[in-house]
Amino acid sequence: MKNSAQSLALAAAFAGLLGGTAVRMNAQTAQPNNATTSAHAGVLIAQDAPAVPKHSCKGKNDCKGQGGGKHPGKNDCKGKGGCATDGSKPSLA
Amino acid sequence: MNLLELQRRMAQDVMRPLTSDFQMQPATADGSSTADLANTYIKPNDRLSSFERLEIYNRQYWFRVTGAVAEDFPAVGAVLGEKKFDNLVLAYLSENPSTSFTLRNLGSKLPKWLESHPEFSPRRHDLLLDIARLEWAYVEAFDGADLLPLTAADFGDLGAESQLFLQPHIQLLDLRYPVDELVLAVHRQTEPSDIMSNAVTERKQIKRARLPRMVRSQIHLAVHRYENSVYYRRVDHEAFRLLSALQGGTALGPALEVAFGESSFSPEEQAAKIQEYFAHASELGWFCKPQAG
Amino acid sequence: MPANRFNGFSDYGVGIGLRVPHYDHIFAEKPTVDWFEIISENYMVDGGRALQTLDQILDRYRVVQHGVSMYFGSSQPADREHLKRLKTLTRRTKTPWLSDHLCWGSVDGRYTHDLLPMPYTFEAVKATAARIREVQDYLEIPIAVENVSSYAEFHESQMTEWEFLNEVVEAADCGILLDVNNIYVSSQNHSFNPFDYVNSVPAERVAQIHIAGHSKFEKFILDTHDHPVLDPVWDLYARAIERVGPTATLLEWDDNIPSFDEVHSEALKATRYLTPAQSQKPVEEYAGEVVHQ
Repeated sequence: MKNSAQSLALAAAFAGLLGGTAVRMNAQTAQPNNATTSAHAGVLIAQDAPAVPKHSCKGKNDCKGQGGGKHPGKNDCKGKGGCATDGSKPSLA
Repeated sequence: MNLLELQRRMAQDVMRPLTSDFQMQPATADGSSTADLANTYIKPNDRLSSFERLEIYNRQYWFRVTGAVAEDFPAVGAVLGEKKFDNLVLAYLSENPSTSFTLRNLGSKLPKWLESHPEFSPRRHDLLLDIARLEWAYVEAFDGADLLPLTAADFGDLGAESQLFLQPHIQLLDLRYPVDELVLAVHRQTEPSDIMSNAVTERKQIKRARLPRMVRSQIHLAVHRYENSVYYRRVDHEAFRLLSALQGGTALGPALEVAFGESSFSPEEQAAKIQEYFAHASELGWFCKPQAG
Repeated sequence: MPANRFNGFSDYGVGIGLRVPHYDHIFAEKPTVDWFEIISENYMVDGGRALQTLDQILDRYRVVQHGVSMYFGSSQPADREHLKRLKTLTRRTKTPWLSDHLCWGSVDGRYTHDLLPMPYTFEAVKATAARIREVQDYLEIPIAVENVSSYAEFHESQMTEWEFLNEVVEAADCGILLDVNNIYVSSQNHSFNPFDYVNSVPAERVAQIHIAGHSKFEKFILDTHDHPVLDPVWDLYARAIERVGPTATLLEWDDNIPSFDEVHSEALKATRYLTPAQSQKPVEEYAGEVVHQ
């Protein structure tokens, strides 16, 4: 990259960082800890595919009960996976 | 037999793979009788032989660890089908027993391990690898560290030699198939969670016919967490190279060169893209101070 | 008796295990619950929703940590990373005491993720007590060890399980999490009188009590935590309360988990034993003989 091109690229990076940070800070100030913050992120979040919340609250080590003899081949170790959301489910799911 | 010897003996027996019908093996790999082995250290009682008492633990071990791994790779399971997937998980765990205090880490080596095991689906090996990588990236993004994002004040002395650190939860993937669509389809086809039912933790079988057809087409994904939910974000080739370079510790100037080294964009076009990349990334709080320690 | 140095001189009543299927109900309805027990390992992560959820719980409820993988009886040194993460979590939860199992589960760096029974030997007493002391010193909070359900006994054993428990807790100077369901399960699997066990534990060291359901099979009983508490276990619980006084009690329900209200109601049945005990003098003991008041 030539010096002039590099300067242009760095200036662009700097502008992007400042602009994006300002958007984030404004969103937080306007809607602190609010799920709608994602909507303020605009098209960026909308383009994202939210991973569904099935795994979102797993507690893998919940396996306290020792049900090993019940259903051969099946997982008897419960408390893992399937859960409802805690309210922070992405609104654009 | 001292304590360590007994524990080594029992661990070896408990972790020995089951027979195909989920019973304890009658013999070890070297032909020794497992019943004889069990007799050496486990007492029988009036209802169960030493073999049968040991078998309870042997079966529990395998049901528990296979269930834990299977839960993290539902889309691999959906593509392979139940029987092949079970075989894959068993083979993986036989070679990669847990070395962590938490079951959370049990599937961590599966994507790498699968690279050298095309036998489970020779024709779709690359596809399976991509799916496995994405599913494990989800686990990492789900509970990776989330550090304080940089603020405008932190950019004051930004220059070509500056290092920008990415949030530890961000996983960057270079994939040969658009497997994000497939993984999301698997999740969508999984029955909604009924929180009062055991059904939520039974392994769901996804009919392969209902999965989207995968045609080879390179994509780049940033798997990341935003407001404690995990997202799959597609990024373009240059953004991927830029983020990967930054994640690898390359300074800003060289990272920009890496990103656009092979591109035919004009400097102005590059600048526009760079500004967009950094705006999006900083909006999501992706840049942070380095992790202490 | 309930408040003692092994439970941080706390005065906790009846709690339940914090489980994922109940999150929605807890956050929406904010039910009155005396305390929750968490599985420590589920929250020993770097970030994400698990910790966010825990913080929300901590804002409103008292939490006690219960671990499943410290393996006090494993004959090799404790995992430093495990201890470090555990200590970090105790600072977050401010748990007044911490419990884990009197068992082993790992050897040579490989984890079974099961609660494997100890050989009841003097060598094991010494090693286990040393490990408990080491952990207790590092964590700087009281530790209570829980008796496990078991399905096997060893030729090497030199004493009964309750004698082993007593030797360990005396040598380690730690508390006991007395699981009366586990006592019942093991008593049926190994043909001993469960009341002998309950009558033998040092009452002054009991920091907490666990109750749970189990499953009966033709030749053995499994500790499945998937049922209401059965009558013989309530009988043992009554005897335990008679001996140790009203003590922090927790219902474990980990499989076939019903609604929050059903689990909580089942747990609160314990109050019918605790409430009368609160108005009685603690049972006095002399030379190991139990004296009924």
